[in-house]
Amino acid sequence: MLNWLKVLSILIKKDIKIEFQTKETLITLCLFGLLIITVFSLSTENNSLINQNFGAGILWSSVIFAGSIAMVKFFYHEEQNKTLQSLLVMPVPSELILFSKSIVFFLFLSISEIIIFLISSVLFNLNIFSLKLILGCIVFNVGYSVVGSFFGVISSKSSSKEILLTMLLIPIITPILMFIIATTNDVIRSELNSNFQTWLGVGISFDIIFLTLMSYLFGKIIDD
Amino acid sequence: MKVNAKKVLSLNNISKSYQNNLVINNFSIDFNYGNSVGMIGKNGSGKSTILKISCGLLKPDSGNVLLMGKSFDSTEDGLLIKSRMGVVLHEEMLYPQLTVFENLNFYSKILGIKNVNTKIEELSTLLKLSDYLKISVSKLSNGNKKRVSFAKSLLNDPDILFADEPESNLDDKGKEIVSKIFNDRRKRGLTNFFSTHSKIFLEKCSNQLINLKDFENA
Amino acid sequence: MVRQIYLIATGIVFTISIWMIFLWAPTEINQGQVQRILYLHVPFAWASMVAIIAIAFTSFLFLLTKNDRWDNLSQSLAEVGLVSAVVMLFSGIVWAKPVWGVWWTGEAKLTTALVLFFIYCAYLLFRNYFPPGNARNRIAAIIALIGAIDSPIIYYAAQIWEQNHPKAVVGPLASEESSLNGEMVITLLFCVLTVTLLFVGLVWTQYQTNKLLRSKNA
Repeated sequence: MLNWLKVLSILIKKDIKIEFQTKETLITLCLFGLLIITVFSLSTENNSLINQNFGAGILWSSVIFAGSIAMVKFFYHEEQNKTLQSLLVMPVPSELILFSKSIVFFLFLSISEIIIFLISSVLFNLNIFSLKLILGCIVFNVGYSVVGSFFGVISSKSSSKEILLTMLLIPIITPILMFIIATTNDVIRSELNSNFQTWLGVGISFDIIFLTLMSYLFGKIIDD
Repeated sequence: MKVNAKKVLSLNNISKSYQNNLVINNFSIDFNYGNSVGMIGKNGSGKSTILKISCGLLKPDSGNVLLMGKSFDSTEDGLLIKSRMGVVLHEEMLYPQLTVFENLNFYSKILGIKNVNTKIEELSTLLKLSDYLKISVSKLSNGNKKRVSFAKSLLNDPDILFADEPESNLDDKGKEIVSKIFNDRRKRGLTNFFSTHSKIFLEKCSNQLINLKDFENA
Repeated sequence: MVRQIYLIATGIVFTISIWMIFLWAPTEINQGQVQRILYLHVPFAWASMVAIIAIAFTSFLFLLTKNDRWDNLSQSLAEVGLVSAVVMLFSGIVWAKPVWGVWWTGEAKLTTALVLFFIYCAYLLFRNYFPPGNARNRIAAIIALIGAIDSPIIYYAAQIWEQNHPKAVVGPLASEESSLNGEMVITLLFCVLTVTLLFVGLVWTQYQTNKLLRSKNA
């Protein structure tokens, strides 16, 4: 019996290999996210006050919705080819399947965020590069990837995958969404007094609670 | 390797419904190691469902399943029995974006197979897949995909092989190869449990028959 | 028969509460007539919050016992809970504009209420879009539990958000606190009782309807 870390790395390498061949998830995340950003940039008419006040919301709206679409694609092929089922008849603990999917999506999400933030900082004239935001993004991406992967598996079996995933995901991740928007606002407006530590506590607690909860429940949702 | 249990497979009072339709009702069966058990029945009689329940892919609504004396769960025993079984279903369950070799390589690593390249070469020779190893699975015909699926299921030389209509999609040569595999396995004391519509295949490959007509509502 | 009597009694109690709201309770000094909306807003808010907890409880019981009655009850609670949430949100918005001068603020309670509305929607959408069967019922129960566990986290996060975003209420009565005298409190409590009875009656009716639909589809 292989140890868990080895199995996890095998699963992750497989998903990364497939993604580099198809590039579907990354392209969806980056292009769709940038498209939403472009639409918003038209609406703000390069007004710096609007950019300062709404920049965070615009950025994270694009990431959330591009992420949902990409997540659906991420799981669509698994369901179509029944490859998730092939892992269920292998000596692979079901939690590892969730972890591997979450880690791979986390990587792709992080890469796309770098691109989206770079372009946004140009389009909206925002200064959004800070360690606080990087830390916030890591915490947000962990929560988003874990919860998204969990609901991604559920929604992949239904007829309206995109709407179902988005409707399940966004209400549940509201706490970390508030966290990352508040953090981004602090960075954009260069706020010195902020609740960052409190928010970080909320974000990390959310990640720990949902990582534990979802790894426990994952085995129950992939059973037929 | 055999886990300590008399019966290789026991299904006890299994019932299963799909979308509110009762497919299997109080079905029980068990058999010993070293048998090649063929299951026949009309369309919709629950053959695929019974196979999927037997290999742990589906959970029954009631009743229990014991494979090699253990139940399917996330304990170490539950994972151990999964490492000792092979599964070939209607769906090939392969990654179409990867080549034949990459698919077999991936599953070999999951199963902890040593000498992966040797094993893949051996199976591709047996199943006449040597020319296709570097070809993406999405480009293969259904028959060749079935052969790859077989190769995948035989990587760990499983104690029990579950197969749902193993001869389907295969040409005469392919059917011959599969029959030979089943009979060789039985001679070596390994178990096969398969479903089929073909009486010829049944006669060639099984020494024990389950006819679902004999089971009420099954 | 019992249900019919219950519903008639609820109708009578509801009529009494309408009389109390519009004719018996005095007009609030600061907010005027618009304050009467709260006699419905508060009870429906109470009903929709309690429903979430009840759904989590019945979902947990369903996962434990696998008895379809608990699943039916969860579904019925969600359907009536969604209606309560809509009434709560709509009545709250209508009340807020004349009193606060804005339709909506970043208040923690409002944000939590809106997110809970979406959780209800997500639960019912899932039941609608996912293929029917045991898997759907089990996963729906899990979604309900996740929603219930997340609710206090959402409320806590919304409170921190509110601290950073002071209420932008600019209406003429924004800074005035509402004062409730004895008759108003009695009216409010009676309305809470009425809406609770109405809620239970509607869930009961919906449960029977769902039971008939399920047996028809079986």
